[in-house]
Amino acid sequence: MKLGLWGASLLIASTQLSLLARSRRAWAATGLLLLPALIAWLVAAANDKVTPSGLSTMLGWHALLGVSVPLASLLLGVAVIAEEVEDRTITYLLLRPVPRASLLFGRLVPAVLWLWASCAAGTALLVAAAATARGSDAGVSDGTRLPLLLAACAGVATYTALHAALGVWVKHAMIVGLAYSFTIEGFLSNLPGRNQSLTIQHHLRSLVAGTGDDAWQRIDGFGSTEWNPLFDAALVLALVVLVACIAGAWRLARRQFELPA
Amino acid sequence: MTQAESSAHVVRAKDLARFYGDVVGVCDLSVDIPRGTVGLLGPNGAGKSTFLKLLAGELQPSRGSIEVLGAPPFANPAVHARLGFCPQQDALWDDMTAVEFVEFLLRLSGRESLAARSAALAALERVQLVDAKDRRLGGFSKGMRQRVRIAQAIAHEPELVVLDEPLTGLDPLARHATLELFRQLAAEGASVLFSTHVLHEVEALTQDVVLLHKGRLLARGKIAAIRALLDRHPRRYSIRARDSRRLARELVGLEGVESVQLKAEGLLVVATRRPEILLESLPGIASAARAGIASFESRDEGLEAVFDYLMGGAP
Repeated sequence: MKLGLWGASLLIASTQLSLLARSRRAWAATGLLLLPALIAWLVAAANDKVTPSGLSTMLGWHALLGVSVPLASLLLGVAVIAEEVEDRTITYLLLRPVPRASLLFGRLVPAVLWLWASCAAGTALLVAAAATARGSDAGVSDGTRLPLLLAACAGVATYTALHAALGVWVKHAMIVGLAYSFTIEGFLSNLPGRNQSLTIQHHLRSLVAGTGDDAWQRIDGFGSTEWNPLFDAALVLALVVLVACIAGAWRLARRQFELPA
Repeated sequence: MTQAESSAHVVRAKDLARFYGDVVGVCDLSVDIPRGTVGLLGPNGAGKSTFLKLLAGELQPSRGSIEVLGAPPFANPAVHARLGFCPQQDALWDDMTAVEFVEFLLRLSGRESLAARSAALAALERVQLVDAKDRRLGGFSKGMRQRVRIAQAIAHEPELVVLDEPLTGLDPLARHATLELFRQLAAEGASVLFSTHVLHEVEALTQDVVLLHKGRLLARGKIAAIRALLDRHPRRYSIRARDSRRLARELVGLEGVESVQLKAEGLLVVATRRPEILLESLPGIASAARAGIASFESRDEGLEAVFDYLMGGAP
C-alpha cells in the first residue's frame, strides 16, 4: 500500500515526535523558552520594587517574544530538513516511495508541537515567577498571560515554518537564519515607522495589542505604535506559514542533496 | 527500444554526465546494466558513488539520461518502491534501535505495522543482527552499522538492490556472510549492483562488471571477455620449475613469446602473444629440458590484472 502525502507525513511525524524527546537541540530550544521565567524569578528575588504585572509584560514582550521565540524556532526550524542533510540521513527518506513534501510536513509539525508545549510551560513559569515579585499592583491578569501565550505560539509556528523552508532552500540555513533574526526581526521591528510591519515580530505584537489589557501600555512605544488589527495580523502570520510550507515543499520536490561519503 | 529490451536491463544510461561545479562526477557515460549481479569497479574518484546516486535518484544528471527499471529515478516513488539502496555514508538515526530503524523505513515503503515489524526482523536476521535488534544504533560498531544499512536496503524485497561499498567495515566472517547474502538475493531473482574497490570480492560474486575511471566508462562485460579484448597486451603466465633457468632458455625461442623473466625461487614469468602455442608446447619443452614444472598459472585472468591493463599499466 503506497502512502500518500498525509499518511507519510503522519508516520514521519509520529516517529519524529519520539525522537525529539531524545534530541539535545529540542531541549536547548525548550531551555531558551524557559529562560525568561528564570530571569523573572531572579529579578523578582533581587528587586523589591518591581511588580508582578510589570515584570511579566516586560519580560514577555522583550525576552520571550523578542528573543526566545525567534531563536528557539530558528534552532528547531532549521533542523527540520537541514539537520537530516547535515547528518546525511536524508538519503533514507528521499529514496522511499513517498511524496517528498511529507518529509517537510512530517518533521515540521512535531517541531511546532514541541515548541508549543515549551511555550506553554515557558509562559506559565514566567507568569508564576513574575507573581513572586514584591511590588504592589493588581497581579498578572488573563489579559496579560493569554495574549502572551497566543503570540508566543503563533510566533513559534510562523518562525519555525519560515526557517524550515529556509533549510530547504539554502545551504547554510543557520547562518542565514541568525542574520535574518538579528537584522530584520531584532533590529527592524524595533525601529519606529511603518517598516515594522515587514517583520513577523510586529504582527505577533499586534496579536498582543489586539487581545491584551492595559498592562501592556507600560511597554515603551506601545501606545504610540500603529498596530495591525487582530484579524489582519493573524492573517499575515497564517499566510507566512502557508507560503513557507508551499515554497519549502516545492523546493524539496526538486532539490538534490550532495552528501559527502 | 522494445519492451523486451527494456526489461532485460535494470539500468540504461545514455550520455550521462554529472558535474559538481568544475569537478566531473561522471561524464558521457552510456551503459546498459542487465539483470543479475553486476560489480561496479573503479579506483577512488572514478565516479562510482556519483553513478550510484544518479541511479538511485538521489542526484539528477547534469546532462544525458538514466532510466532505472524503465523510468527516470529522481524523485520517482514508483522506482523507489522497487529499489533498495545502501548508501556509502555511515549515517543512521543513532537514537533509534535497529528494528525501529528498519521498521520505520519499511512503513514508509507502504508496509502495514505488523508486516513491517516481521519484515524488519527477517531482514535483521539475514544480516545476522537479530540479537541486537533492540540496541540503539549509536552504540553499534562500524560493521554492525554497515549491516543495518544493508538490512534496510533489502527489507522491502526490492527488484534491484544497489549497494555502495557494502563490504566496507566488515570483518572477514561478515564479508563472507554478506557475499553469501548477495548470492541468495540473486538466486531469489533480485538484481544486485554493488560498487567496491576490493577486486577479488567482485570475482567471488560475479563475472559481470562495469569499470569506471575518471568518471568515464572504461569497460563493461564479463571479466574474461574484457580480457580477451585486450589482445594488444601479451598474456602472462607464472611457471614454477625445478630448473627454471633451463626452462627459460627453451621458452625464449618459442613463437609468440615476448619475454621470459626469471624471478626468485624458481619462478618464471612468461609473456606471450600466442598463449595457445605456449599451452600446447609447454609439456613437451619441460619434459625435454627436464625442468620439472611444479606449478603453472595465468596471471591475467584475475580482475585486478584486467583493471591494471585497462588503466594502461601491466600487472
